[in-house]
Amino acid sequence: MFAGRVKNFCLLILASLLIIIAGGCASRANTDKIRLEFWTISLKPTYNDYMNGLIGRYEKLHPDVELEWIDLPINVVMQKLMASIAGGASPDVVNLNTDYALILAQNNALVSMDKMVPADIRAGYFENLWEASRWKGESYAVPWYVSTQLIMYNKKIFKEAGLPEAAPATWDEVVAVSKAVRKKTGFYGFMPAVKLINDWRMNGVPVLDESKKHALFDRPEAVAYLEWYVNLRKQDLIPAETLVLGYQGALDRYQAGSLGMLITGPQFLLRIAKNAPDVYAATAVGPYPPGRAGIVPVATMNFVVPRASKNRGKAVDLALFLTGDENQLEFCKLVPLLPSRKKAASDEFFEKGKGSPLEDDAIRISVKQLSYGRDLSLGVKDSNNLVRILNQAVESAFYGRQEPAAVLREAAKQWDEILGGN
Amino acid sequence: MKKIFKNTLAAYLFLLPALVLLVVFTLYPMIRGITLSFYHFNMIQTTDAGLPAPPVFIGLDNYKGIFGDPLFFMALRNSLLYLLIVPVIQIGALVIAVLLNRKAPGVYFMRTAMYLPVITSIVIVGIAWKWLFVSDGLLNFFLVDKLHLLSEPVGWLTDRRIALFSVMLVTLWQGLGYYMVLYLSGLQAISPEHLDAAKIDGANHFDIFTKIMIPLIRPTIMLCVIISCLGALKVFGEIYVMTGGGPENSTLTMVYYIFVKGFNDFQMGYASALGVVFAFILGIVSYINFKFFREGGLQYY
Repeated sequence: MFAGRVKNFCLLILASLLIIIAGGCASRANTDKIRLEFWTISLKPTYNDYMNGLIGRYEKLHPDVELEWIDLPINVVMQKLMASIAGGASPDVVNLNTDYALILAQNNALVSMDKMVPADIRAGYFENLWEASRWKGESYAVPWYVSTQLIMYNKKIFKEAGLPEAAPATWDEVVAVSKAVRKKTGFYGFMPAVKLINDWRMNGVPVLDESKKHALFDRPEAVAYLEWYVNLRKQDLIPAETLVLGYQGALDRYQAGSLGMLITGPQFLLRIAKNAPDVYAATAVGPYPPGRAGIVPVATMNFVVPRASKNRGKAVDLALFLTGDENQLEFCKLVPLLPSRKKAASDEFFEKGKGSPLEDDAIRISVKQLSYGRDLSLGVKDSNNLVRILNQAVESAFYGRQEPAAVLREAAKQWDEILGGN
Repeated sequence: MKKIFKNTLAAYLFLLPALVLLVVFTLYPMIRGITLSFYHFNMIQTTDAGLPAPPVFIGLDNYKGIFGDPLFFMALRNSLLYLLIVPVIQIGALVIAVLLNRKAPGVYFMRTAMYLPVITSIVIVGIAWKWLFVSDGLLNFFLVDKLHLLSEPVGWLTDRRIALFSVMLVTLWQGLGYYMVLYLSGLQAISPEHLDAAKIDGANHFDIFTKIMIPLIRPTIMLCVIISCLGALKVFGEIYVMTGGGPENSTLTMVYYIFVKGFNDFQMGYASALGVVFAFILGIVSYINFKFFREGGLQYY
């Protein structure tokens, strides 16, 4: 009796295992097509229609290829990618910002786009964007969409503060506006995302020496930029949480109608319109004040192909398709971003706009800024670690525990140790 | 003999699925982590052929690095400080459990309300508390503007002397309900005769609580203390969502530091070594717990 039960039980387990294994095989065996897996960042579900349209068109053009689209939030994409590469199940095409692309390139994890993409196609992309992912003389990413930063401001708050309805044109004016807003309304004028490396590079202050082995930001001209933030905090012109909450904190405050200005990419207009229609209605936009070097930062989203991809050639082809002129233009019509290809950027759409005054303004300003925009990624090894060291230094000075000059001197010393070892 | 074999065979078959999962997802990563701690391993490094670059054996270098790493000691200190939450959360949960262990109107509602934070995602909890904690947030608004208890707002998340305790407050708020339920089940297992007998002997509420209830739920207390010690030492979600280890590393805890080393700096070998050292420390803490709770009382374990 009991033996029979045990036997039945064993059979049951065996059968279940077989079914599971068979199921696993079936899902892999039902096609001879080449399967390409590509990852994007934060596009689902808003841009499902657009992406599915692209996928459909590509599969029609390439009947031998089957695409699998996976969308991830930006803060997990590197972890997933690391695990996938180490686990031998790499995706074929991955959407990454330039910083991440450079980290992977430095670890030999990406295929060189300079080698894989013919010169005539390469020439169609803006040179400054193509070169942003350069490591040891080769570029490792195909630029996709681009955004430059703008100043969005709340007209209602400006009016209450007795300010004219115009965005400040220089950083001194930004401070002056913030003083007025803080004094008259009690709100903060702005809440910067503190990125000293961008500030230095925008203003022509060298971060590293020629050999990229020594940090130069312990010089007084570099220290001045940290002092600028520290003084803003001392005068209570920016919130104490500026460093802890970062950009998300600024966006939250702006959407709540309690921040005078938001420094952001134009694509966030859509989010503000959805989350805070009142604030959107009171919002106007102005250009991002350039630094002394006459440039503004540009954020680029790229496609990269991991070396671990089993179909590198096809993967590069897919990256070029996704960033093609027409496909980029179609995307830019949906969301106020800029294309990375010259032909797409010269389309009259970017002059005429789509009839939504605020977004059209944002786009017009962005296009103009693109000509003097640079991707300011540092392009050195261990950049994550270096940035973390610098951020700690900034925190020590910001919360008033140490002098800016002293913390930057210490940070520069730590950078030298790390850079010297490369 | 044959019968015993058949009996145990069935038992092992029932255990098999769980054992397989345990081996694959716990035992293997553990052993792999220990071996990796002797290697330099960067997960994204790839060979020209597109294969993951093999780890490089470096002996004890990772461990030597740890003991010269100021951030390790900072993280260890913060993690050990986090243990302060254990007595607070346990006493709090026990008192609430005793108060809610009776038949009175609203008790079921209170129990549910206490348990609600437990099942709320830490991401949502973290974001909500971040809003409460900001310098012009609700908490400061009450303390400064409404109740006039303080003259200036507290930097809950920005003052490096306070930030860790602010995060602990969130853990406390979220964890109370969990331990309350465990204590409630322990209290309800106490046979009413013990309590009645005590009452007949003239014991007051306090005596009943300290002399009858506490000794009888000692196993539950031990379980809760061990779980919450390990939970406190392993805290991650709150830090990840709320402070990112800042300001000035004042909320950098061990598990968060391991995460940063592994996934931010890509030093998997070093992160594994940190993990091994920390596992050792966790082992010591658990040993002390067992030792402490074994003395006296009922020896169930």
